[in-house]
Amino acid sequence: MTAKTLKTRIAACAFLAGAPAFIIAGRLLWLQTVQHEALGRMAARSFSRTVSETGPRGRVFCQGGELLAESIVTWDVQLFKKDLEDPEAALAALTRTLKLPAEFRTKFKRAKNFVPVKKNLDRAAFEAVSALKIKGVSLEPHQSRYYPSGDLARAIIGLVGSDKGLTGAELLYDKVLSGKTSHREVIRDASGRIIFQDKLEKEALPRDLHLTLDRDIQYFSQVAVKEMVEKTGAELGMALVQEPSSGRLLAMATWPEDLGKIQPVEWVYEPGSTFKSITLAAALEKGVVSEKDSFYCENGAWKFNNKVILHDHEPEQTLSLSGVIERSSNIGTAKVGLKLGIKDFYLYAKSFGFGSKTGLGFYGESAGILRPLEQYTSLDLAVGSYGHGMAATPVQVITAYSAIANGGELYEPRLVNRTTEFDGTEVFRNEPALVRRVISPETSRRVKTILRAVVEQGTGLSARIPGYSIAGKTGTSKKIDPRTGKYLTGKNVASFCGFFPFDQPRYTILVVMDNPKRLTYGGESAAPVFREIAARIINIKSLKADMPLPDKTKKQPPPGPVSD
Amino acid sequence: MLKKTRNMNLAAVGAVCAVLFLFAWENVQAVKLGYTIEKVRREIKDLESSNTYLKKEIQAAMSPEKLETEALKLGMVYPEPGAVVMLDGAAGKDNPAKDWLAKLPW
Repeated sequence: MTAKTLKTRIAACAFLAGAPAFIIAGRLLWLQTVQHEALGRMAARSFSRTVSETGPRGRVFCQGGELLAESIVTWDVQLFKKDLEDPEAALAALTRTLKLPAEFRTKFKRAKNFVPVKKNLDRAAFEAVSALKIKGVSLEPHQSRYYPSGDLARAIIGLVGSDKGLTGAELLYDKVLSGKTSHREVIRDASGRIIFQDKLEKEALPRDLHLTLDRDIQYFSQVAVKEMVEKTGAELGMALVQEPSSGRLLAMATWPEDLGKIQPVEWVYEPGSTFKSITLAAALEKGVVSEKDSFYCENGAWKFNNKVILHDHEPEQTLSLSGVIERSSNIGTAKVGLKLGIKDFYLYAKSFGFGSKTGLGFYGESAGILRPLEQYTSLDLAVGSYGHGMAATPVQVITAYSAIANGGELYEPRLVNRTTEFDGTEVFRNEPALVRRVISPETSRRVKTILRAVVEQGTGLSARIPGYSIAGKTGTSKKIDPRTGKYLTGKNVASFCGFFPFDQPRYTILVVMDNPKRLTYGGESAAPVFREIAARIINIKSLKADMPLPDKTKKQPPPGPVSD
Repeated sequence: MLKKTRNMNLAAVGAVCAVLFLFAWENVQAVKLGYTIEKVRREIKDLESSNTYLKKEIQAAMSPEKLETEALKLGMVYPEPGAVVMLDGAAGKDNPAKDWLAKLPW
């Protein structure tokens, strides 16, 4: 073999060995340069995913910063039968850990592959299941609504379904509270594990809602209402507390609770004798009556016309203006109303907010019923003077009383104080909104003086707290059959609305009991609830006594009438 | 001369290989870091969730209903109106958001 032949053979071998490498290198060059863009896009489509994550829903706080509602992560457990290595052992372990019912075994046997095991596991249960390390069992996290304060203001907060408000504040402020969805692009490897790539968007957090409710006052109201409903057998009980100087609602308690309804703005009733304060305020403001006037109360029955006789709860003779309100005389108040006249009565009722929605904005809020001015007759005026022939929501009544309490200014009721970012930065503050001045400060003072007498010596004695000046008015109205529109015999709505301290009222409280079976008058069932709530407020807010405490050695006056 | 050229070629091949190795190593490290970042992200989420659960328990323990139940168990009763005098604030004024819980960065 010549050297030339040897060289040729070596070259041939080198070519055969090197050619594939060159071909591969060339192919790589082609793919990495010319085809790079197109192939990169194809790969991204195959391995990359844009993952969306819905963050937690915004939180709901009381005015003092106490948490009422928040979103927490809970887990749903599910298993895939075909992936289980030892189905019997897995079933036994899950049954033991999650305390599954015996029927689960049947469900497991019937299922082909996928078996939902249990929903909404808390963290302890999640950790227990994770510790089992069973192949084929998966834990799917999701956001759930949680209420750390239990039943506190649950009806006001409302319900949530799959991050969407269904009722209450959750529905009304759904746009504020809704969890924000963030997107990020991830690349998964062959086994499906995520290789982190980048966030497309910064994780967005929802906003928080701060209500005007005072946690303690709300709680005491709920407890007091519940106890009285159980004691009297009432169908429904409500207690509302408002700050008269701003219209902020500090408590809205109902029992029994219906999470689908906000009863204080949806439920309407004839305000009855609590409306006498409105008639009184209007008459004093217009100057048609004064404290010096007296009214003959027809010994309890007044033949208004050939068909209608107006009645009082107790037969009364001649009463002063204050006496008419203290004794809650329907006849006396009807005479005050007739002096006022239809037009002024109607205008003042409207000015105090009756017949109009309050501005709280809840779906289903009622405007109450106040018939048009042109339909009013003198009989309507007479009975309307003591709160019959009309309907109002509890929020309307308490807001009107707050106007009397604060010197005559009607404020829009408020339930939301402010909204903030998740970190607490304020976004929006709901300032008090003055609607109008209804009566002068002087008229307000005169009405308040008479209402204080109601509690000191009239039908509101059960609301009295020794040492504290309280003003208010009882009310007992008959219920109307919604089908026939006629009054129902033996079915009442008992109520009491009042405020304290007398000089500069800070709290207006309305208590309503719907159809109590026992203690049917407002002075018997509603006024004691007022006293209970007021006493608790006095303690937690450390309010000083503003009246001399009664001398316990002296004989106390006998209890007055409560029959209204 | 020939030996010098061969050495230069070998050095060039070595340099190219080193660059390619560096490139490959960088990619492997990026993927490894990707796994680590994703793991840390999951850990953060988990700790946040755990933190929320702990705060939830604090709030639940401080709810008025729970406090009242515990106080009654200890034999406490509600005071008479006017019997409570706040020493750390002007009497008759609200003391909103005083508790330390309200000041926590939720």
